[in-house]
Amino acid sequence: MTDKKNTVYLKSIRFLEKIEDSLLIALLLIMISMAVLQIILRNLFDSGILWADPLVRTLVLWIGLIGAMIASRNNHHINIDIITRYLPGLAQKISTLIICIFAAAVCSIMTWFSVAFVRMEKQDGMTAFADIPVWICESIIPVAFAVISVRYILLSFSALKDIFMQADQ
Amino acid sequence: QSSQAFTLKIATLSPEGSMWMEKMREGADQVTKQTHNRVVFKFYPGGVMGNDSAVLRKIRIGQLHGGAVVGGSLSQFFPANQLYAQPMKFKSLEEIDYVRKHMDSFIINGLDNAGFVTFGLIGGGFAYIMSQEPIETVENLRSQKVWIPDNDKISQDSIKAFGIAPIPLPIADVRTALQSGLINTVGTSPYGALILQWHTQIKYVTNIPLIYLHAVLAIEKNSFLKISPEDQKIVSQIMTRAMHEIDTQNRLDDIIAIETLKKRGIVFINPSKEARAEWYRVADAASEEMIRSGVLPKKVADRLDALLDEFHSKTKTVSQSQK
Amino acid sequence: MIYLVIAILILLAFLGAPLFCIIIAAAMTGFYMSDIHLSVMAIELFRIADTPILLALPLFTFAGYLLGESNTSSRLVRLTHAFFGWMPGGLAIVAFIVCALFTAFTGASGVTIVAMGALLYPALKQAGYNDNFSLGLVTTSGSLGLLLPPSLPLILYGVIAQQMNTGEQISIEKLFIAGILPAILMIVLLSLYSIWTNRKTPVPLTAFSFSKAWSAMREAIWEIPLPFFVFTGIYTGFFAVSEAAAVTAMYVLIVEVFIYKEIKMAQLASIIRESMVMVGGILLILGVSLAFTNYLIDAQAPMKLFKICQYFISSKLVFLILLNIFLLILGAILDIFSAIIIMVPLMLPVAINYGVNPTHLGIIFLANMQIGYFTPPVGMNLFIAGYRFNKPIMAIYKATIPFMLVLLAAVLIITYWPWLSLVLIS
Ligand code: NA
Ligand code: NA
Repeated sequence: MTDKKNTVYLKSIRFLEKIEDSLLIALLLIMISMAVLQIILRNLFDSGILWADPLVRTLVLWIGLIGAMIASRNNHHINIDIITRYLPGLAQKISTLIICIFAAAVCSIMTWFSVAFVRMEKQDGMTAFADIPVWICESIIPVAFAVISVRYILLSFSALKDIFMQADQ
Repeated sequence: QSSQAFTLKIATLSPEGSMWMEKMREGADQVTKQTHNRVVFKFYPGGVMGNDSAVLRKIRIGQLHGGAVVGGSLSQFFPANQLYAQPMKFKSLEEIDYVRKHMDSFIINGLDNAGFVTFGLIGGGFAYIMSQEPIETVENLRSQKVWIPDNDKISQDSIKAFGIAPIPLPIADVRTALQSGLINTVGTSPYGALILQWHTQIKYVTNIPLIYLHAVLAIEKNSFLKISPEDQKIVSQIMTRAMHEIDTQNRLDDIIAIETLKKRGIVFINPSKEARAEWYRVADAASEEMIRSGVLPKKVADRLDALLDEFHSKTKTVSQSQK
Repeated sequence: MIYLVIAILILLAFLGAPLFCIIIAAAMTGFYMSDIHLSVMAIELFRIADTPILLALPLFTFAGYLLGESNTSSRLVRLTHAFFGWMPGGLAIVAFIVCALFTAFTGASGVTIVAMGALLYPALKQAGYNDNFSLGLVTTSGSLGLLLPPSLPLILYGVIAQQMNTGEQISIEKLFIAGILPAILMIVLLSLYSIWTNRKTPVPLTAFSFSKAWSAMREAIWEIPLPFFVFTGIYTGFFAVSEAAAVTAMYVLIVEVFIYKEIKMAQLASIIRESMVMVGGILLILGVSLAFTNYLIDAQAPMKLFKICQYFISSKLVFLILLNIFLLILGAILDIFSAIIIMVPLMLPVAINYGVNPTHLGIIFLANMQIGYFTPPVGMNLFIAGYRFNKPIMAIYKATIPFMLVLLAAVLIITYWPWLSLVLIS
């Protein structure tokens, strides 16, 4: 029974990861096409899309944060990592656990306050470009940090499991 | 002691060492002295807190209490503060002086109702069309690569009337873009052109005032009301005086800047009578558009026009009586 | 209390906690203690969307990854071998020059390391340079070129300095010209070092052969135009930097996928994914660093530090020495634009007081900041290189320190020999 539960769980995670990956790829292709289209319009037709530049700049933020979400799947973020490699096995696992809990906590706090920010912006009701509200552009910030927090919580659980497995041996 | 020390954190795009900052610091020192350290200013110059929209967000969350910002940035709170930004509305500084005497209070009240205490408007002089190729007619302008500030909806809207496809860029990139030829036409005040060193990249100025620029020192009202009423009075008095000094100095600096541009061999083009008429016709259409889209209440725009007529009839009588 | 927090954060960093979390935690602690609502973090992060130059990061990175995944690096090696094979240090010198020009218009935001590094790192190793040297070269080159036009920091320095009414004329043109000899000095010293350090395991020299050159050129015929139209496109103003980046990405995509056919369609998705994950890792750090910088500015920390330094100044020499030290530290922790905006108005009057030419000060300022980018332990480009090439940070430190020392020598020459900066403008 637990096996069945596990496969459903894994399948839904795979599915969500697929969505992230596709979104990231689609956004980059949109970004390149928009930028090239803008050059063609500007140089050949003496015209241009006024909202193309702000759109493309917003895409930079979105691509960056979605990329960061994906990087968190296996804790593949920039780190300094000077001590860990010299630690013995168990200590290394404990330090991994501490780090994942720390990251989860920090990102949860970030999520909380970026939700507050986006709600404030929604109240203000400003538009960014082409009648799209600013808060929609900003909404990727809380979403990204929420996803990253969840990932680090999951990584904490698996680090905990590793520690118990080592202790059992 | 009833009132605690209160620090007003103010951000601005003007860099440290500029006349603006010096006047504001002078004012701040006087406030500190006269309130016996109950009110202290902390300045963040040079745009270190981000552009105007970032500054306004930081005011919203209370990290900052105010900012010296350009008029356009506050139009989200009170659109009609763009009253003087109607294209080619004014033909001389005398006209604007007369109108401002009567209408500045309208903008100040409007901003106050929108939650910002200001200390008088600071005029930034007229923006002119400055270009690398001579522009005499509207038709000339249409074939140029024209810059407009990015994220400035009002100038984007009003420029539509001129029938051009502008290139939106942030101010920081304009100089490089002029140098590389990505753009060849900008609209800015003569003083602004000198400060930003755009003047080395342009050859011509179309000698029709484009729009009148203004800025304000705006402090978020709720923060300001936390200061005791007596201290509010002191801050208002001193800062209004400082802003007035900046306003006056700006007017002088702009006149000197025009001379400097001429001395450097930049040609001021005076369009012919027909060309002029065409400019004004198109510009009027842009003003109409501002009214139609609801940015500018018709009543207010009409009042401004009436003031201009009043000014013209007065000066006419003066010049006639002098004859 | 605050010291305890700092100690814990440092410990967590050394245990390998994600750097962005450390920076967020530090910034939030600071903001919290200053009674500032923590949603300021999101406001600062959103400034990424207000920074046009960052558009170059994903686009050039994608192009760099495509070139790195196809056989471009071996074609590049063959090409430089054919043309510069007679010259000791051929590829290394070419790499320095190309990276410097690339950084001049992309800024030192790490684009050079990620995009050019993808191509140059394997190329250098294929050409016979050892791993350590190649790694150090690519990391160092990430900020080489800040002194060359049209570098934005140089323009910003000019705008700020000229507004200050110091009585001396400072123009951006003058700054551009003043930066040229110092930049050349840096490249020459680095090139000499490269030749010297590889003397025991030299890359064998070959005489120029026309047929070899011809065949190498024919092989790379689709890639040779790329640097030319990027550089001339930007320097002649046909396109803006962001546009050049978009055109490059599009061009490389077409050439590698449809002409050389070295990248299969199925591979493309994973290349986009990998390259953008890299971009995400870097952008997140840049974004939260903006927030941390904002905290330092809010607390007016750099100004206070400068005041302490000022206390020790007694002569021009002492001023210059302190300036070097101070700017190296600043370059490692503050983003370059904030550093210029905050520090130039404070430093310039002091500098002029001690007889330092303002144009010269600009060159000193940027030359120091350039090294700050890869000064251990916290120079940003070190982390970016470690991330990009999947190396432990210690290995990056080791590989980069010799290059840093060479550039430090260059900076000392630039600082204490004003002639170098000023001869072309006087
Ligand atoms: Na770079
Ligand atoms: Na830095």
